[in-house]
Amino acid sequence: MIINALVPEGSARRLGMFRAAVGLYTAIYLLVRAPAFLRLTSNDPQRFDPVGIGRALTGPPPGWLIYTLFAVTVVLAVAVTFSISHRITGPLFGLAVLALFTWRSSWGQILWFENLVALHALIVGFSASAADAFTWPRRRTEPRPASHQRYGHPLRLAAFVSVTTYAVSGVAKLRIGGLGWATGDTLANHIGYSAQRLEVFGQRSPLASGLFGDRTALLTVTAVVILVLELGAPLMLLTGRRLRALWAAAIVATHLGIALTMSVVFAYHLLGLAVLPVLLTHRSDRSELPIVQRRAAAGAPN
Amino acid sequence: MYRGVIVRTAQLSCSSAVCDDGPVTKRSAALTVRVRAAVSVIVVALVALPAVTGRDSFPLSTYPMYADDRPAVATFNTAIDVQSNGGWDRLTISQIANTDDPLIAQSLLAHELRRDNGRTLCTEILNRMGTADGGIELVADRVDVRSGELLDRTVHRRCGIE
Repeated sequence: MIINALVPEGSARRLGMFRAAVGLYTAIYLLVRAPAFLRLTSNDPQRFDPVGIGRALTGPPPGWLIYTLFAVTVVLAVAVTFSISHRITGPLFGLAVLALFTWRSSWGQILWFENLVALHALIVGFSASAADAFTWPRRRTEPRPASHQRYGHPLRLAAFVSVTTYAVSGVAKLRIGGLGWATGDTLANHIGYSAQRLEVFGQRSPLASGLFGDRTALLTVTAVVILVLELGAPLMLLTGRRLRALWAAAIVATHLGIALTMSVVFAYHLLGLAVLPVLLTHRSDRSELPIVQRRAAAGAPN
Repeated sequence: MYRGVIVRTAQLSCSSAVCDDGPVTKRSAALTVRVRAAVSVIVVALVALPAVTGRDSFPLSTYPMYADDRPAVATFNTAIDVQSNGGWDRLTISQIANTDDPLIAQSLLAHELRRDNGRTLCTEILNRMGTADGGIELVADRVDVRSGELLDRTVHRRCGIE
């Protein structure tokens, strides 16, 4: 039973969709944020504070290497999106994203909105079967791959990673903030803090930061709901589709609320990509089978 | 019956180019599934590990953002443009830290104040701004985050001011 939960059967198409979504997001994200990435190459080397695999370095890599890594990662992201030579480009994509994002977080501030993207990029990158369907151009000559564990496993693993990151985030709130975190005052102070941080840096306050000012009761309910959503995230893999969809919608709504009240945009999460594998992974249903097999499964004559 | 169809289809599809499991025998298939399950357990354990160790890194993190029980009064390090007539203006994060991310600007200010009490950064900002009249101050503003009222200000470093 545990094995089945960890390595369920799944559809090639759903895994392919997720692969394409991660690749496309990464390509667009890198192109949009190119100035923010490349500006760091001119940073004072003394500010280099490596994290993760970057700790193996004694100093920041030279600028030309980062420019090259950046360009290669964009190309690999496009290749993964369209499943071009995925057995080669996939693993390279996962490693390139890990290296580039690690380097970006190695200047004194870990950028938490990139952690899950890197983990998902590694999962789809190292899943050779992720390019068996949802390809472009469509491979019409090959038969539609049947549901199999090699498709269900990477998607379920990505879902496990997503829900675990939310659970870890919930644990951090209780460990660092204690039960006091779940009071409206704390959330109001966080919203006010984000607004004032922007003010002292000469920027405008977030769009909706003033809406919740003294609505302590509403913010207390919101804080409790956030904790339940985060700590309860792993349970979503045991529930039915409707509850999962409801949870996913609530998570996206939370990120939207954070963006509007604090001007902190977790784009990957806000677009629903963090919860996408949770929505896509479940026992393969009959609609994923070719029609002849669907009839056979239903006991109908061919 | 449904499961039988799945197994049969999986075996058939393994003769095609899309199969990455090699020859499907009962033993090797079971081994592959066990290896996959082990990979899942290890990866999930690694992602969950920071919750136990409290060690924040990349890509394995404690996700500590907004986790603290934040008080209503906070101190922000920032930089201001000071004019010779005593007036002052706030600088943007682009002018202060050459970034558009407040988190990065905040951590840079903290790092530079620790390193040399802001001497290098102050000069950097001054050169970036080219202020002819007045200069730059690196300050710590104590602010009531709910009302936005500036409670007091400590000057860490001045540069470009006679």
